[in-house]
Amino acid sequence: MITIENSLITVIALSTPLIIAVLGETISEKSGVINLSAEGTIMICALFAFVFGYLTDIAVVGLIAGMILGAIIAAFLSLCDIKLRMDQIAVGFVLTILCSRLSSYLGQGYVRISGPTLNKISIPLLSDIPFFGNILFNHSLITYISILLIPSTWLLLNKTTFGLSLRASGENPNAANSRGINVQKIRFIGTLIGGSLLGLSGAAFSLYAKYGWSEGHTTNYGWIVLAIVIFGGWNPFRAAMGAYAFGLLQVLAIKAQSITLALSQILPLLPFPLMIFILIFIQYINRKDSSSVPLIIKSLIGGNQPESLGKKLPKEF
Amino acid sequence: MKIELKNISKSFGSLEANKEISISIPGGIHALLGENGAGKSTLVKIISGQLNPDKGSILISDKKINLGSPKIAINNGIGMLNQNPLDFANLSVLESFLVGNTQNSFISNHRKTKEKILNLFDNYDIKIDLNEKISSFSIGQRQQIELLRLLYNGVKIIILDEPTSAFSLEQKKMIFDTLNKLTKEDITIIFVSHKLDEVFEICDSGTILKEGKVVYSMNKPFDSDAIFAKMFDDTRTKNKITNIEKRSDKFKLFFDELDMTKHKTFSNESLLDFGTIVGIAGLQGSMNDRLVKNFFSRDFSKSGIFFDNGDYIEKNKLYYMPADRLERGLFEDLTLKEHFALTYSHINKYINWNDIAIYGEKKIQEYDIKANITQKVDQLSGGNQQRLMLSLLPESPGVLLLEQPTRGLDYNSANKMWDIILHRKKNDIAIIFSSTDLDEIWDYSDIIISVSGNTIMNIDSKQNLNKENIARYVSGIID
Repeated sequence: MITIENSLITVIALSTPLIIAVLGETISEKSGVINLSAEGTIMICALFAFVFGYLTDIAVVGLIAGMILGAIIAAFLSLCDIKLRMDQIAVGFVLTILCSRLSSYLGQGYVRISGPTLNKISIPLLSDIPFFGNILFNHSLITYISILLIPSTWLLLNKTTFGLSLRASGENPNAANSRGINVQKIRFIGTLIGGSLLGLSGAAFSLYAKYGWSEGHTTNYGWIVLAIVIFGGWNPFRAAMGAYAFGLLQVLAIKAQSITLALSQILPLLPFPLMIFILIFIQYINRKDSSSVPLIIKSLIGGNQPESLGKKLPKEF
Repeated sequence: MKIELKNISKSFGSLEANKEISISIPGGIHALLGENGAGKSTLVKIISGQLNPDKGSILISDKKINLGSPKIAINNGIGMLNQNPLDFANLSVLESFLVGNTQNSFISNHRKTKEKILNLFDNYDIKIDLNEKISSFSIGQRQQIELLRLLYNGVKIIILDEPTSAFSLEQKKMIFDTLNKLTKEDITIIFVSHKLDEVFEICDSGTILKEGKVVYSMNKPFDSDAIFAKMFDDTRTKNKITNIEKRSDKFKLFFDELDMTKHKTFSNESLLDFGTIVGIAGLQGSMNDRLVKNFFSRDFSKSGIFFDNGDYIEKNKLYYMPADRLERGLFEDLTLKEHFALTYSHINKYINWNDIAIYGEKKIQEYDIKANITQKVDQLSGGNQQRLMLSLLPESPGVLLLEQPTRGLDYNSANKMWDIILHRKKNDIAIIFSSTDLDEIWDYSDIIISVSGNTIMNIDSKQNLNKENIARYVSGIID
């Protein structure tokens, strides 16, 4: 019992940065902007958050620093998109490479030193609930934020006028423009929110989930985030499930080390082929003629890519 | 609501789409006529704020309004129904109504909004689930939803950009009744069309554009001869089918049981001559387009075209032209030259641009495409895009599968289109086309397939039919 409980606590803790990043990227992509700089943004924000936390010795300062840097990178990407009409994919890739390399260079002096970390905060009363209390209500600030962000993102996208305008801009900027929506502004804000969450995710790595800094500290997480967004069908709840599933497999890998070495080496690899298979499966489900698939499964895992995701805005506006 | 346009000019590069256009509309329904490429689309885009003119002003009730912003146009009560629905495929109908339309920052009062929208839908006899995604509706239904959305938003000036091509006969009548009602509520309607009968039926006044200029202004009662003369230089008479060069080979059409859920009056054994034109008649949203596509893709049915000896006609001899020009037929960001290169140079490894330029120029002449070879496809008018699409089909013998070959084209462009199609007829094994225009079906088909909804109602050769029969079949009435 204790091991299951502990494992689940670890899963939630480890998944924290992933959840935040996946939600951020979902918001950005819903507005039509694919932020391909995720890998680089998370990495350099992890470094910045750690450095600021280290210098001030206050972890929260690090979180805020990470968010701000993430927003700045996203703002750059967004301006390239909406003002200069450059290709989002190209700019995103270049930013990823630039930010990753820059983090190795700038982070040389900070490798493997100890800095501040986020403490666990037990929520009174709720954390006393047996089993669940410990799993859900005995975490750090950033984990609570990540959990709260899941419904908040859904509410933002589906229940607010801003969210609707954001989705409209990602679906058909032309139509949105003709309805009087300022598509450029909406896309800018959407990308900015998305980028600041990517930054926060980086901070969550270096200040909590994978405490400290080393070269290539968050390697590959950005790409995983991009895959989980697709896996989640651009739906915050499904995307979060994907992130937790990923976290679960990682924790299983750690646990497996005590059983056999081979298993512990295979398990960390498992998410990647699994993700490819699931994406193929989703593609299959999404095809209209697969009428043999029950509707419930379809609506649960089938998601829709925003129609003009990654496309340049029309010239007229 | 009075609307006045003053000296509107707009150029795209060297192309002058609008030249010093001045129109004054006191109210009622005003027709904006002109051939494809006359500058109608540009002008209505300027009025609706989607384009900023180079010069000129617009006055509503004698008050000058700001231009170049859809938001301002909406605030001034100008709404536009585009030729193709300008909506959001992945949003629900309700959400589509709400986009850009909610004052609160939270989407609230769903029930009240829903009720209001449903009432409106009820008034027009349309049954639609508001939670359904837009992508699940046909183009015609999407246009209806868009029009109702404009009414819901309380517009005072409605621009209809060739809207009826997407409506069925009954729906059209309903829309026209609505439009007439609306004019009594001081709503001005700008009706962009090339169907003169529709214009005569409902419009109070009109303007004819030609090459970007106003060439004629008119008021009720209309002088149809003068209008005709102003719109078209060469009033060609429609080609009638003459002298089919017959060959000995024959082919047959086979229809899958699934496609033929009601009637099988056409014998599967009947052999058709080479050069036969098969017209598939159906209302907008019926399966007529899908039937054409099925002959090509054979995705969901076994329907197909066979040679006499029972062999399928090879796929590389089936030439398919989709109805949706920009979505599925052409690449809007590629130039004409690049389009020609795609069809022309697949034999060679390297592209010889000089050869292609010569080949392309020849094609442009031959198919009467009014464009420069270096222009991008999205700058072309609908008729030119349509002819370009046809010019790209290989000229070797095969089966032409044409989905609504004259969709959205004016009289003259449509005639030109059919000139070209008939020109190919003697070489081709067969021409199969779908249309919602019964006149077109009647004029050009040898075999007529009438479709209602998802059912083939009747298949027969033309001499056994008359127009009224077909009209009844496509509306789903059988004897």
